[in-house]
This record gives sequence, structure tokens and C-alpha cells, in this order.
Amino acid sequence: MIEPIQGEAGVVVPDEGYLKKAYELCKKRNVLFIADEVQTGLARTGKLLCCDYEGVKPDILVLGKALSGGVLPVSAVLANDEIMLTIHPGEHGSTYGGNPLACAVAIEALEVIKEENLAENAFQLGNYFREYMQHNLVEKTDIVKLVRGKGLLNAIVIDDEEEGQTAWQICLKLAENGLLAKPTHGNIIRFAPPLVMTLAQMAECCEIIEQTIADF
Amino acid sequence: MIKEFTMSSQDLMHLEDRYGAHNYHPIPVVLSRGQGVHVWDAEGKQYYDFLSAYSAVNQGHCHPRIINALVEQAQKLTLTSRAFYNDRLGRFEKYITSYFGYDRVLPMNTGVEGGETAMKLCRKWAYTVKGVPTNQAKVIFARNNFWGRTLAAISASTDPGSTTGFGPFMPGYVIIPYNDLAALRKR
Repeated sequence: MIEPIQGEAGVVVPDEGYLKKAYELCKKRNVLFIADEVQTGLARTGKLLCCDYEGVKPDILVLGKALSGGVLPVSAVLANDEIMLTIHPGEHGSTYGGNPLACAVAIEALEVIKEENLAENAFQLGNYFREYMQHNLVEKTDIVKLVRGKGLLNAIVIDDEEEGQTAWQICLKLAENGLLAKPTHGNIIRFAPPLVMTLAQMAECCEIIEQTIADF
Repeated sequence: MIKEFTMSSQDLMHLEDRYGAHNYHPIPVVLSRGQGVHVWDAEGKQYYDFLSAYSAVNQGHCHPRIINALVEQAQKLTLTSRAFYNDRLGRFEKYITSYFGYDRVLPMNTGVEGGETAMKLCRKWAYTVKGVPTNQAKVIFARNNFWGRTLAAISASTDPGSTTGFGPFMPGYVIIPYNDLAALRKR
């Protein structure tokens, strides 16, 4: 079971080809490949699923979070017959699982992703964000060591220890300046705005981040 | 009854600190409204949201279409349990399986329940299709994985902050380094 990008670990992006080769290895050994796309899926990383970057179709796909657009907790597990039909009536479930409210909301949330081209927008804005951070912060300051991510799931690595306070202090200052972000470790700040952002808004946000960090 | 109009952000943070479990350490901002990429605090200050509730708000806060679907359905029927059929579930199942190209879906609520469900499916398949001996199934995870806070999820965790004081843990896991094909090949 694998996250195509490790989110809580600090937006850790594996090498190109890793998912594909891991998937092929699983197939060769008759092992199921489970993709945990709860955070990376649903257009966040610039494709509908992060696995789409490598043309991998997981045997079991786990979705959650944006499946309701932030309205209620809704998750879903997708698989083909050979796997899904191993579970029989009475063996698994949840009182609220598949409730009509969640179903109505989830269909609409998925429609919005498609009709508003959120994956494409995340792809474009993500490229802009990483290029901006690379050029204006990584290359021009000592405090930001690295920017990484895919689509609009990104993080910057601060020149500090993992247990350090700098990232937290930067986030407090960002809040003062009108932008909310959260450290994932003492030295990593994640940047993952809603995918409905415009390029003009992203440009403004990049300036806020640059100016805030310039004070450290 | 708490009078909402008298509460400042400071007051509201104090309430959480005083009456809530201390299992989170939030940025000291109290949000009371959201729309699209923006959120506003109790004093009306506007922010760009660069967390999106850990990617749950990809479509933006309070997306009008999604809220409309919520309100319309909320006025009709919200919960039946699976003891009965309901007139939304089948439609959703057909929609989401064709959207992602799978035969079937199993709906749950939280992401971690999705992970638990995936593991149960995987184990059941291992025993009934692949022929793994009873209770010998293994699930491989990558170091530094995070998929939630249930006992099954933290049993796969390599973060002491998630595990310390919560044992004993579930067996049947193999942990390998992330982004390391050689380590996977050895398993």
C-alpha cells in the first residue's frame, strides 16, 4: 500500500518510474498494488490521480478528502470483481458508508473537478509555483534549500533541523501577511491551496511567501 | 448558550484549550467563513488557504454547486444505513466506477476507513484467491507512510509521535524504505 507522493512525510516525491516499476514487480509476484490517493488524488497533483503520471492502474484505489469537496467525510475504495467480490454481506461496512447525502455530494464534487478542469489548472499553477520558488527563494536565499511537489501539492524545505522552530515561525508570519500554511516537520512547509485558484492569485501568493521569508 | 457575537478569536481559542482534548497544535487563527481560495477569521481578516484541509477542499471552500447538492439532498433524505437500499447509492456507484474505470466501489466515510477497507480486501483476496495460509498475509508499507490514526494505521507507522504509548500493534506488516525498488524486490 503506497502513497504516490508521501504527504505527511513532507511531500516526498519518488523518482520517475518508481511507481511503474513497483507496480510491475507486484504483478510479477502476484501481489496487489494498493494506491493510497486520499491526499494525492482528485486533481491535487495535476492529474486526476497521481498514479496517472506513470500510467499505473492500482488494483485497489483509496480515495477520500476532496471526494466531498470538504463538506462531509466521504471515502471510497475501488477495485475490480476478483478483489471486491471476496467480501460478502455482513463481513464489512459502516452505518454512514454510502449514505444518500454523501452520495449526492460526492457526485457533484467529482463533476466539479471535471467541468472546471481542476487537474489541468493544478498542473499549470504548480509549475508556476515551483519555478517561482526555485528562482526567487532556493537560488537567492540561504533559508530555503529546496522546493518539491507535483501539481498543487508542494513543500519547501527550510535550512533548519527537523525539530527546529523556523518553519513554525514562518507560518505565523505568513498568517499575519494573509496566507495560511502549516509545517509538516520543523523544517518543511507544505503549500496546497484549493485548485480553483487563478494565476493572478497565485502570483500574489508567491509574492507574499517571498516577502515573508525575506524577513527571516 | 454561548453568545457568538461576543466571542473574539482569543476567547474561542481559550474554549478549545479549556474544553477540548489536546491532540492538536493549530496555527493560532480562528476561522469562521470560507469561499473559494479564501477563508476569514473571527475578526473578519481575509487569508489565502494554502492547506485546503490537507487537500480535502480541492474544489474551494463552500463551492456553490456542491453546497447546493448538499442542501437539496439534506432536505430529502440523509441516512438510511445499509440495512435498506437508498435512491442515491446506486447512482453514485455507477458514476464513480465509470469515472475511474473500476468494476465496483465500496463507500466508507473517512480516509483511514478507506485504508482499513483496502487492507481487509487485500487480506481476503490473499486467503480466498491467492491461497495464502490463514493469518499469514503481509502488507508492505513504505517508511514514513501516513494514512491516519486508527490502530491499524499507526501499526504501519514509523513515526514515534504516532505510536508511542498506543501499543500493542497489529501484526502482518512489512516496512521498507520509500522510493527503493531494490528493497521492494527483496520482499
